[in-house]
Parts: sequence; structure tokens; C-alpha cells
Amino acid sequence: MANPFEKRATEYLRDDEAFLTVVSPEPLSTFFEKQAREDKLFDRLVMIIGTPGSGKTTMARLFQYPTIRTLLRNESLESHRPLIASLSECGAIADGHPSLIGARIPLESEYREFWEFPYSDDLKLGLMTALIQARAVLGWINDLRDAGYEMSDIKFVPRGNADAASDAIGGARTEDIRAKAAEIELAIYNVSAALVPPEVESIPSAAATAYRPFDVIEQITVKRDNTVLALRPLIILDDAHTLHQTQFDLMRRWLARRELRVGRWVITRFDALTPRQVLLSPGLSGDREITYIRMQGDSGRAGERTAFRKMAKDISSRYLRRMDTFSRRGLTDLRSMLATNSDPLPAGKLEQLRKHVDSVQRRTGVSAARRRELEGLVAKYWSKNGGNPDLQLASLEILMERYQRRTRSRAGELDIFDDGITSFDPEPSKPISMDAGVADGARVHLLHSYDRPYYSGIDALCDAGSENAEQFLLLASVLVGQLETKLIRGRDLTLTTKEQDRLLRERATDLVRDWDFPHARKVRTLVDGIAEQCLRKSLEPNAPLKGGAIAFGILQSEFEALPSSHPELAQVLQFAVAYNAIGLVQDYGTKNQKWCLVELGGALLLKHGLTLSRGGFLERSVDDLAELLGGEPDAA
Amino acid sequence: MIWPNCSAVSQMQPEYRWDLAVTNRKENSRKFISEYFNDAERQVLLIAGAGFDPRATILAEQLGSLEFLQLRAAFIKETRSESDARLQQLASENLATLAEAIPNHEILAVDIFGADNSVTAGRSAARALHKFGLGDATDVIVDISALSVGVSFPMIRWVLDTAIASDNGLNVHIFVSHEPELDSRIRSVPAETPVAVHGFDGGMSLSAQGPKAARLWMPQLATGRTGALRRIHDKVTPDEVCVILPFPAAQTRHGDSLLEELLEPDDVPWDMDSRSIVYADEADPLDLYRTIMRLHALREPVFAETGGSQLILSPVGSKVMALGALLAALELDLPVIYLEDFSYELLDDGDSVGPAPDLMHVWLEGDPYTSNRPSVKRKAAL
Repeated sequence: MANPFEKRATEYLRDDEAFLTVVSPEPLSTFFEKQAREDKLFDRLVMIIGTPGSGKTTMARLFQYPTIRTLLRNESLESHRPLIASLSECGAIADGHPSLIGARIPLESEYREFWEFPYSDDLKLGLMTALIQARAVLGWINDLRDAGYEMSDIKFVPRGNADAASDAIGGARTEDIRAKAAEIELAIYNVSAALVPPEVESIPSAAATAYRPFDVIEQITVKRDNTVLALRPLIILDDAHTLHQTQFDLMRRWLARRELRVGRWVITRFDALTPRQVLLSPGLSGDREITYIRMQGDSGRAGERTAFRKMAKDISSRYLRRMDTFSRRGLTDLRSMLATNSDPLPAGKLEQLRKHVDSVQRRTGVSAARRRELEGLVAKYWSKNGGNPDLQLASLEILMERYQRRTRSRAGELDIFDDGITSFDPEPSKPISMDAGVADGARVHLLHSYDRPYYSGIDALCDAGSENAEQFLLLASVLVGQLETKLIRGRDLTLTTKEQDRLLRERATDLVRDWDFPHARKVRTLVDGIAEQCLRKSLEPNAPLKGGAIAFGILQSEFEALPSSHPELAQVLQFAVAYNAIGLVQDYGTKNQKWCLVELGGALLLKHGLTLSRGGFLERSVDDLAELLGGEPDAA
Repeated sequence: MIWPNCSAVSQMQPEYRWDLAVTNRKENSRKFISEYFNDAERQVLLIAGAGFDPRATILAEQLGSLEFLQLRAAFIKETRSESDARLQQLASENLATLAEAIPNHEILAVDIFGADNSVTAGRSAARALHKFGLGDATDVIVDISALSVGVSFPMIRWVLDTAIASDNGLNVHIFVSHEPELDSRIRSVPAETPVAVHGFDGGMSLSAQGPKAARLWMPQLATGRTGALRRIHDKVTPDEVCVILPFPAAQTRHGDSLLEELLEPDDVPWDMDSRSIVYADEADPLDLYRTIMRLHALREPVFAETGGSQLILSPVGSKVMALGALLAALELDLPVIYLEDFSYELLDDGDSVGPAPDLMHVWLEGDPYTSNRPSVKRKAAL
């Protein structure tokens, strides 16, 4: 494999054994274990929501029966033990055996097309749900047959007294159940594949008859060597965002019924929910009949970031193990190969910076004594945080600028004709302090004014991934590629901060340039516009937003009206969210108000040289967003 | 070939249904049009695209100028939510030209996307044509010059199925104005999700087929389509890939350029070597058609015992080569997977049409053929 980071290897590794060597178990503990402990994974509808590349399908694959079997067949492998442990915690494995049989059905365009038929909603839904159930039954049987079980070893156990219902799904024998499912599938396929759908009266009876195995099947048992294993059937419906909105809602309602005994998971992207609901997702979370797992969410963000860092580091180790160049040398920790300490600025630039800071002192009217005090704060902070003279000078500049702003009103009170004034060194209206926010601001200023590297180290790489595995890997790939080149040439086994900064920013710029999805051009215009304004704010000399701004903040109430007030903008935002150009942080409380933050994705932060720290935003309106697109007439 | 002696053709036993199909090119096509169609006995229905493509009006104008022909037309207006104003203007002008050339016409609006950006092109097109009907036509012409794959393929399939089912000697012709240079100037933004062209699922989605067939994916390479091909590959998950390159081609090195574009900057997500390339004549659809049929015939016995073989086509490039893929897909009921075009861009303001495009004609069904040709396969019973 040339460079598995270039594209998510999991998508190319059709072989389960190869797949299991690269998949990280971290998302299982982050997203699934809690729900499993609360017994909310298999007895009700589970909706798994995330942007493209967030790992939804990868995680779901772990619950598929063939994957679990392969994992258990190789349980002695050290690398598999964390996965087995996590899956056991999640209830997929018990006593070294699979405890469920998961089958995945991608809800491809074929299902969406049911909604184009000239039939009643009931009939359309009936056709679709019957097809899903037929394919579920076929999927379970196929997986068990592939595992070596004969038809006679497999038994579908109906719930309660459901003999009559068993007859409706083919009977008691698995061969008959399979034949019935195949008959239903072909009949419905013939309707959906027809160039022109048949008249209602001409729909084959096999397609139109009620077929409800999910109401009937309680369990599937398999027998081998006089041992009977009971498996809970689980169906995983992937890519549900392709469905029509009404279709999606009706399907969700069907699957949410607690009478259904099979486990049912629905995987969808944010943009499944139409522009309105993409942007207004918190409302869904209140439904107790449904378990929601958001693989990129808008709550507990600090925790999400920490969890993602852990997962990303684990993924990178697994991928490095697949690269001979690294694994032969035992190099599987990417962190150790990414330097974080920058060299100080060259003497010439440092001198330039010193002179600049002196001129700031003169302009801001900071007295010598005040400067010494501020320098003391700066030195104290950086002595604990390993800062070079350049960082200290840049921090001092920010503090002096803040001092000026916080003493401005005092300056206004002065009587300039008062001969008694010999010195002016007022106390600031608010104490000046040196903290991580100022330090971040200093770094951003130095990045833009003196090309001092900003983006370096594994944590920065993880954060630039915006909690999206695919984005993380695409960014990491360029660093790994460079490391590989160095290794082959026998050079240093680390990338300097300068190299990392350059490579990441170039890579991010290429990624944004190569966006190729509907409305990509408009999305680019929109996010570049947001970024430019954020950068202007970030480079203000007093670093008012610490590291700077990375988002537009729009009043939540105004944002909720956006889909009807600005429908074209809503469409563009829908795709921007779906492709990680932006993230939406809703109901963000600050300044005694609720905001929706339209936050730039990691690739854009890198491209424009913005901070990776969160929280800084510019107060804006929906009209401001629309203006970036060239203005959009008010839909009203 | 122009217009063969029908009895001569009918005595030949082709290996494939369209192996000996009557085809015409360039001057022969024009001669065929002026001789064959200029006949008062013929009632011709032309189905053509009314889009921005400068080639949209070429055939209609020729037919419209014939003295004796009874001619009516269905002009297909493909509607996309994202549309460039300049291209809309060009489309309007083309529609006006078409309307003037063939006054007896109807405009069929086909929504390419639903309100939720789902692909509805093929289903809309088939429904619109079904509703329009073929009337008393003796000859149906489908001009695919200005029609997208998602619209033209289902329409041709519908016409073909209707012709075969009615068994009344309906003649079915396909025309395409071939100009590779113009093709490369039309750039598209692809939709998100690869889908099967409507009517061309080929049973891919059926679960009950037993062991999985060995999948060979045959994408046609085209300029600016590398990203789209990668996405289609991710959906198809083939066991093997065999790319189709144009050779011979108007630009001799065009195939090389396409390969360079595919292989750069990142590696392709499949194993690629010189054995995984098929060369097909850029200007002869039957060349690619025969190649696909041969490949299919070779693979069938090899994989018969292990689930069978499945060829999957993705004709994203020139329309002439797409036509070759269409013929194979029609005959073998092969899946055709593509990415619908979300929007278009016409690069450069240069001459809208350069030297006269090569007008290609394929006679699909009708007078030249007997009923004992190989039949078309269908999985759907309806």
C-alpha cells in the first residue's frame, strides 16, 4: 500500500482481516459504549448521525456478523484485543461468541425512487419496507451460510405466538423463509426497475402483499456440534440521507415502533434532514423512543476534541504499521516525528520585531515602569510554557495595546493644560493578564507578520481534522509522505515546525481548491468571505478575541428563520456542513444571548492562517452571510 | 454504408445483436438523411435535446429541410436547479432554432433533480416519453447530441423495448454529432452520489443471487472526470478495473493525456497496469460495443462456477463511445453507473461549433434486420 493515509484505507480494504488491523476502537468507547451500558442500542431505533468521513459506516461495519466472526477467529492477535473488548462492552460479543447478527443495507437511490412512483404514500412505504425486510432476511441468511452453517442449522425464532405470522414470512423452515424473501425482493425489484412503473392494479401480488418479518422475528439461532447460539438480529440501514424527507420521516416512525424485535440502526448525514433541519437539529434529540448517536455533535465540544485526538492518534499508529518504511523501523507513533518547538526568529527578524515593539510602546504611551511590569507577566507565563524571545515580544505588544485601550478613558480625563502633570501611568480599567489566549494571539500575529510556523505537532493536526477522520487522514497524509521521503533518504526522523506548517497549509489550500460537490463554488465564496473577515479581526493588535475569530455568530432566533428567509443560502449551507467546510454550533450561550456559530472547518483555518482554538466569533446577521454570496433577495 | 440492401443484411447471422448494425458517418450520414428520410411514406418522430450544446440543432435542421418528410419532434428540456445564465440563453436560442426547423413539436420538460437533489432524470424522461407516446411513427430517431446519459439511455431503452414488444417493424435510429474538442470544453460539476442510470441497474441491487459475481468495472476516461470516477469506483467496489481509452482518436495522444490525468496527483484506488486498459475507436461505437461483448463472452465460462461475471459500465466521456457502451448494456442488461451532472460550464468563448461535427448514425431496429438476431436480456419481468 503506497500511502494508506491518502484515502481512508477502510474504504478500500474489502477484506475483513485487513480492515480490522487499521480500524480504531476509540469511537466505540466514545459513541457506543455509554448507550450499550444503558441498554439503548438494540431494543429501539438508533440514529447515527455525522458528516461524510466521520466514521459512521466504519463503525457500523464492526457490528456486521462477518466482521465479528473474523475478529473472533483471530482473537489471539494482540491488536484485536481492544476491539474485542470494546465490542463486548457494546454487547456485540459475549463469552467469545457473536451475540448479534448485523446486516448492512445501503439505502441507495433505488429506495429514494420509490417516492417518485404514482402511488399512495402507504403503498410506497409498504413497498419500501417490504424490500428492506426481504433484504435483511436474505442478508442474515447469506452471512450465516458464508460462515459455514447449513440451512438446517439456522432457525428463525418467532416472538410469542406468532405462528400465523411465521407463515406470512414463508413458514418455519429457513429454506422457505429464504425463498419467500427472494420472491418478495424480485417482485418489488421488478416494480422499481421498470422504466415506467406499472399501474396500481398491475403491481404483482407478491409485491403488494404485506410482508413483515421485523414484526415476527425475535431471534436467530444457529447450531453447530450440538451447541446452539442465539443471535439478536440487527439491521443497519446506511446512507438514509438519500431518502425523500417524507419517506425518511415515515421510515423513522416505522422503525421507532417498540413492537419490532430486531435491532435497527439508521445511519445518516446531517444533510439528510433538508436545509431546515440540517440547521435546526437539536429538536430531534427529545424523542425518547430513539437513541441518537452524533458522531460530530454540537455539545460537550471540549470532550469531543479530546476523544477525537485519542482516536486520531490510534488511527495514525495503525496506518503507520501498514507502511513498511515505518514499521520496519518500529516507527508507529506519529507524535514523536512531529516537532513542536519552533526555532526562534532569525536575528534580523527578531531585531525588527524588537524595534516594532518599541514603537508600539511609544505610540501607546506605556511608561518604562509599566513596560517592566508587563514584561514580568510575560516572562512568568513563558518560563512555564517554553516561549522564545519572539513569542515574548509579540505577547508584550498585545498587552501594551490592551493597556492603551483600557486607559483610553483616563487619557480623556486629563487636563492637558495642567502644568502639574509630570507623568501619566494610570491603572487600566481592567487588570492586564498574560494567559494562553494572549499566547495564541501572539502566535497568530507572528505567523502572518514574520512567517513563524503555527501549525505543528500531533494535537494541531488532530484539531485541524475538525473531528472528522477522513479530513484528519487527508491532512496527515502529506506529513507522512514527507516523513517517508526523509526516511528513505536517511535524513532526520522528524519534521520541523516549519515543514509541518508549510505542508499542512499547502495541503489544506489544495483540498479546498479541489472541492467537487454541488454548490462548491458558492461554498468556497462563502467560507473565504467569512475567513477574510475573521482574519482581519484576528490580526487586530490587541488580539481582542485571543487567538482570533473562526466563526460568524448569528442570533439563534434569526438563524432558525433562515431556511424560509434565504432558501438559496440554506441550500449552500447544507452542502457546506455536509462537506465539513463549516460546522454549526447551535444555542451557543454568551453575552446573555443564544447564538448559532457558523464555524469554519479545519482546512479553511489552515488555508487562511486562523487559530485552531475555538470560541472566537464575529457578531453577524443572516444578511451578512447572504451578502457574501452576492446578496439574495429576501424570500418574503 | 448509407442504406444497405435489406435482404443482404437479413441473411447474415450476427454473433451479437448489433454486430452488423447499419451505421453511417460524416457525408454518408447526410446522404442517408436526405435519401432515406425524404420519403412521404415515412412518419418520423425525432427525440432530441433542447439544451445549450451547439450541436443540438444540427440534425433537426437537416430533417426539417427535407421536402417530403412527415416529421414531428419531442424536444427534451433538461431542467437543473443550478443553471448558468449564459448557458440558459444558449439553450433558449437553440430551442428557438429547433422550433423553427420543426414546427410540429412538443417540448417535454424533464427534471434532472428532485427538490432534495435526488436524481430523477431517467425516471422523469421515461415517464414523459411514455406519456407522449410514439403515435403512428414508422421511424423514431433519438439524437443524443444534446442529451445527457441519464436522460438518453432510459429513453432509448424505452423506445427499443416498445419497438421489440410491438413487433410492427418500427425503425429506431440513433444519431450523435461527434466533436471531441467541444466535448472537452463542456465541464460539469457532478452530483454527489453515483447512481445506476434508470433502467440500467442490471440486477446489481438484488441480494438473492447467491455467491457474488466477479465484478469488472469498465469506466470510460474523460477530461476533468477523475474525481467523479473515484467516487463511482467507491460505490461499485469492483474486483477488477479496465479503463477505456479512445484510440484511434482525433488527437492521437488523447488517451495518454487521460491516463496522465487519472494517475496524478494521487494514486488510483485500484491496481493499474497496461493489461487493464481497453482501447476503442473514438469515432466508432460498434468498436467498443464489440469489445465489451467479447469480454463478457470470455468471462462468463471462467466465473460460471463461482457466482458468475458482472460487467459494470460508466460511460462518462464522449457520446460516441457512450453509445457503444449503451448497445452492450441494452443487449446484456448490464449495470451502468454514473454521476449525474449537477451543473455545466462551457469553457472558452471560441467558435460554438468548429469544423462540421461528424454526424454518426446507428440503425438500431427495423427494416434491415430479421427477428433471429440475439435477443436482448432483461432481468425485470415488466
